[in-house]
Amino acid sequence: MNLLKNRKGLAQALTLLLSILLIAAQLTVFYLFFLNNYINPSKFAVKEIPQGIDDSQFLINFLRTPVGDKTFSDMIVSSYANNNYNELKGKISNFIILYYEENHFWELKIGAKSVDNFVIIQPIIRDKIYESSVDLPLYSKEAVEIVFSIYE
Amino acid sequence: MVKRFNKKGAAEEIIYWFFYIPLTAILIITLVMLASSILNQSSSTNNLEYYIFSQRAANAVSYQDITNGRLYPGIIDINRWNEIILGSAFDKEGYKGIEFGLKMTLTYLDKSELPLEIYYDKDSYEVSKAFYSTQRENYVLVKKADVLIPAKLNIDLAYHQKRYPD
Repeated sequence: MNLLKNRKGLAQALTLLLSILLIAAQLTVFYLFFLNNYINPSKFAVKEIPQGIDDSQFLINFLRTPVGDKTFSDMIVSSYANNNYNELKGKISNFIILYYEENHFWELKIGAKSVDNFVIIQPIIRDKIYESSVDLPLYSKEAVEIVFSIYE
Repeated sequence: MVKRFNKKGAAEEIIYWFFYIPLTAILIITLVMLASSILNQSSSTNNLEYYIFSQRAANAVSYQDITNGRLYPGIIDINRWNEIILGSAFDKEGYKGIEFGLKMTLTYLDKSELPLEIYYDKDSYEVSKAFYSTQRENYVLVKKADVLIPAKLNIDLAYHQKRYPD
């Protein structure tokens, strides 16, 4: 007790230190949980804008790509209507090899359907290098969302 | 007795200020750094300007329907693939302080032809490429007559002065 009484300055300083640490902790928590949510999306968005545009353009050009006397978009719509994806699967695989100059795993989701060249679980352990989506009109004039993903 | 009391008080004061001043400085520096980091984050455009320049270059050589004026981004008109049209897309005199050069390379996926290269301000490109550059690779279709041919468009934009943080 005597020791504390004799060192009033030290006690005050330790109180100050504790209060400052408390303020720093409060600021950190505020930044991490509240401010971060408002600040980082803008930074994220600016970085993601160019990538988003390029990804969309890739998918649109992919759909426009001629395959024989049709385009990939025609082939997707007809495959979806006939529920037969064998030809589509082969053509997409050829396109991926031509574009990347090597084989890549890919997946094309057409509404609830999915076409891919997966081999068991291999895509799960690989990084996704591309994904984009677009709505495609069907013969019935309804639109179906297609999602195209490519893996490392 | 009075003399001894004063000595103790002075020691207390010294200890107090010994902690108070550095800790206050740390707090102020932390607050300033926090504020500046927030301001920098919200104002940083992450080289978006150079992306827009490269997008403008790609659009300059893209196919445009002369009937309705519609531009087709991602479809390259081979008749527009030249440095005169590419140069007309940029206001070189208006870019003082942000000078850059640009190289565009068109490579057919079927390798039916050798890659085609055109430049905007080749001299600036050759000088600046040793400093900073941004590269883009886009999948495009090349319109030759009425045929669309799959190709890769590489845009390499070089600049010598870094204006924005990465």
